Amino acid sequence: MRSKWQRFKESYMLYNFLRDPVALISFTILAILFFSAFAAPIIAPHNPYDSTTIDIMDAQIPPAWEHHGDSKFLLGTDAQGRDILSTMLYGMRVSIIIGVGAVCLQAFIGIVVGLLSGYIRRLDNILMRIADVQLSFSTYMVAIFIGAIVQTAFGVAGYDKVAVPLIIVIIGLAEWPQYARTVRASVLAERKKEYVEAARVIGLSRVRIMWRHILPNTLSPVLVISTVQVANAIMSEAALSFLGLGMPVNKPSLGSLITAGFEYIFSGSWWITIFPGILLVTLILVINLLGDWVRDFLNPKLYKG
Amino acid sequence: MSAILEVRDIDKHFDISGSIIDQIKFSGGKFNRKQTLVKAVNNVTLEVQPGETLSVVGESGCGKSTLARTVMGLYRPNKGEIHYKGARIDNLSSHQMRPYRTKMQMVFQDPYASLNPRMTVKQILEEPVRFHNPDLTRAEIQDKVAEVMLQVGVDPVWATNYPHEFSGGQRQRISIARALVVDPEFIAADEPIAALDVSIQAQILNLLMDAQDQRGLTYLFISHDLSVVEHISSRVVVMYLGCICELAPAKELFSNPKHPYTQALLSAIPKIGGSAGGHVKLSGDVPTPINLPTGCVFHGRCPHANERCIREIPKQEILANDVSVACHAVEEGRL
Amino acid sequence: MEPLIDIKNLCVDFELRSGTVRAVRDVSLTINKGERLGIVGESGAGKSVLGFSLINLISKPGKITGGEIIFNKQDIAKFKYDQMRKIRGNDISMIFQDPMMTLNPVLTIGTQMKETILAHMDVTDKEAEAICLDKLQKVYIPSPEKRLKQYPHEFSGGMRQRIVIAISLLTSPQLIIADEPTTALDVTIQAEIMDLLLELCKTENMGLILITHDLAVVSEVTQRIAVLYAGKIAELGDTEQIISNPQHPYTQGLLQALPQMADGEQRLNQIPGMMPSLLNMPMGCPFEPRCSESMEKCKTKIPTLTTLDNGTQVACFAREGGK
Repeated sequence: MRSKWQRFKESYMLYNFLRDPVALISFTILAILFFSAFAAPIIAPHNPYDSTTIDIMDAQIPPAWEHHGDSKFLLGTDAQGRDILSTMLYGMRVSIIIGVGAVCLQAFIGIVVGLLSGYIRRLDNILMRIADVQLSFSTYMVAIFIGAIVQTAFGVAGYDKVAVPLIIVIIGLAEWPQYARTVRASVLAERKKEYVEAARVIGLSRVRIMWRHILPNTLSPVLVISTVQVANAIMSEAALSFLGLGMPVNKPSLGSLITAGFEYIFSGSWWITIFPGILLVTLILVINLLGDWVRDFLNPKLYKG
Repeated sequence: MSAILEVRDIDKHFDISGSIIDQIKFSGGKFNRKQTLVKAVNNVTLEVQPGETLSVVGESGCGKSTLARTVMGLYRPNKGEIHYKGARIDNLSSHQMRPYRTKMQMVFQDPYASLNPRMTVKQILEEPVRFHNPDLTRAEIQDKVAEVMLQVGVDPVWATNYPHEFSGGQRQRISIARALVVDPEFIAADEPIAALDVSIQAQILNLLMDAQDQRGLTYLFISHDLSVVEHISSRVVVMYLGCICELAPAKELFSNPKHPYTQALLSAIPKIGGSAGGHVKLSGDVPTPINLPTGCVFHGRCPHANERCIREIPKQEILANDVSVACHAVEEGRL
Repeated sequence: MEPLIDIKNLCVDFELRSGTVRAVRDVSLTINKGERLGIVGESGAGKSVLGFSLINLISKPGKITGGEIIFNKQDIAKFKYDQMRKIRGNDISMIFQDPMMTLNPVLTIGTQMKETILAHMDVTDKEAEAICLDKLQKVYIPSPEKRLKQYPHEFSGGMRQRIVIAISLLTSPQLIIADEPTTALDVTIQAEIMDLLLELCKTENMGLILITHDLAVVSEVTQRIAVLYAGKIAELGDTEQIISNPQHPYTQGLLQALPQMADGEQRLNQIPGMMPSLLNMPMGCPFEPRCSESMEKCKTKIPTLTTLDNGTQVACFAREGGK
């Protein structure tokens, strides 16, 4: 009788993971990024949200190792005088929260719809058609729509407060059909299996069978696409912010930082865009690499039982 | 003795026509709606006596698995009635079926797919007990589970393991334990040993027979393995394309098969120490249940078919020794 | 009779993360020209691995780690990929269990058959087609010209297996290895396919290695049987001898466990326990934990094949000393 922790230590997954250098390195980098992002209030040298500490006179100072640089601002400052390094850390936190939050919402809606659609034949057609309609709306169009309405309703100041949940909702609503389809495919396959028939023969209710028996067995593909979807959500948010539809200027995410710095790239202040850009690329890359490892590991051909 | 299970003239057809768009075809100058039906079970009538083992044999496509599932309530028959101990059960709602679920259980073929890979053995076995007996305490449930695990020969100490940690034979034992844990009276076993090794098959068969003796169970045993069927059955039903060809006590069927299909089937079984060849050759291939032949479903391959066989569906005729055959040639005395 | 294939002390190992699985251990067998040999065993015994290794179809993490396979006076166990290609499908053909998996669903039968011929024989397209038609007739497929243009899904299971057999005949091989060719088929179709294989072996003078778990089939079709247990040969001899007078306790148990041999008894004779996991082999005879006749010697020493008076070879200490 082994405890869960013992099982994990002996598991094939851990063994495989520790032997794959790409997975190990990606995981380490991701862990560092996550930690830095959420420890931002503690480790960031400045607080970019506190307008009292920002001095417009500090604007556009190059990185510390450059000529004219200031060791107080390690990677330089942006057009408002905010320290790039600190803003990046806080911005990464926002990006990660939005990425993970959006994926949670997508997954929740998608799994529920996928389960119902796959198991209850009568609902299948209508739910899948709704998913098709949802897919035909581009994320940006939805964002413009909803963003415009909310901004008008709440005003610019109010918009700041709802920005993060709003973007989470927008990206969450845009991408749930992905999950629904994946889960539905799994459910259709699992439904025919004999352990489901056995559950019906015991007399269990439909809801219980869906929740207790089928759902746990459809989670592998969900896990696989989740990693990629987090990366996608972070990128979508960056794109939205780049277009001005995402995070407001005073609460930047990595994407809005890149936007804000874009105009200054030609006037010579390259650091405002480049550093956040590198960080964003790194973040997305390690998430994707980890996702690749998860997908290969859970590939049914390689993974038996 | 009144039968424990009565199946009266049931049909089970599956509609695989697809959506309305798939069905519409243009032929003969106008639009037609084409429906494709898989006629898995056709006009099946039989009874299962308490305490006996009734085996259903046939090749793939004969409808025996569909029959078992229809009897267990997993499918609803398109026509006909199913009675359990005198009460009609095929038209009950799932709530009304609940009390019957403790009395009728099922064992499946594939030991790898019949246990939920994400549940431990303990959870798999406790679930039916808890569901039907919500008042039992934890200790009582654990005792019941341990008791049934011992009976099927799996050490209760392994109850916290997952199914993939067991071998095929052990998983089948656990499946049987799941069926036995609710104290059923009737068990439908769908090819329970087909996926197992020969030396394990003997173990599982013995287990099933012991359980029957100890608990007074009635079995509906589905199989394609005729030598196993000969060994354990009281009576045997031979099916072909969803129709019953012959229904007879086991000894009678194996020593004196009447229906041409039964004869062909029995002669095709390889025998230890026998020689190849010398068996009844059937012409053609097994047709599909989608386009059922007219008249007797076997007429296309039967060496004794005549004109009447193509037109008319033969009826079940009861002969001496409790044998019932559906064959024109037998009825006319040609065989 | 001259030997067609001579297998000497063959060892096949699989390197897994949990250890080395020795799937085939020190197996020695001879198959003569035109002879039909059955390799019988349960799952995990190594019979499929043995069959595959004869034409070097074992892929990583499996490898032939010892022994020789002498075919046409050469050791094909050591052949490189290109050398092996000339033999596979040409001198030695293989038939697998599931014909739906063996035939490519997107190519017509004609394409698949001609492809095999053109890969090994230097003939024109028309000649290849003639050979295809000839072989299709040999397996009793009606209207073969029409069939060449059809796809695998248009045939039933039995017909597909006949087509697979026809494909294996195309190059007039000297040996056919059939790995559970009828397990996926119905009983009546199985009987036809086995009849067909038997007839073809006789008319084309081919050797046949029939790998199966079904003792009844093997007793009807083969001339000699090798019983495999946990990667080793337990018993090897003439079919008639082994079926009527099995010597090794495992063979005896296997035969007695069949319902046909229950002899009116209610309970079947079962062999207790299971085959040991190939990762965790007992030190001595692999069958010892389940054997009713085991002695002290059996726990520590591995028995080798000894020949009994009636010609059967057995690997069992309890039978040594002849009969």
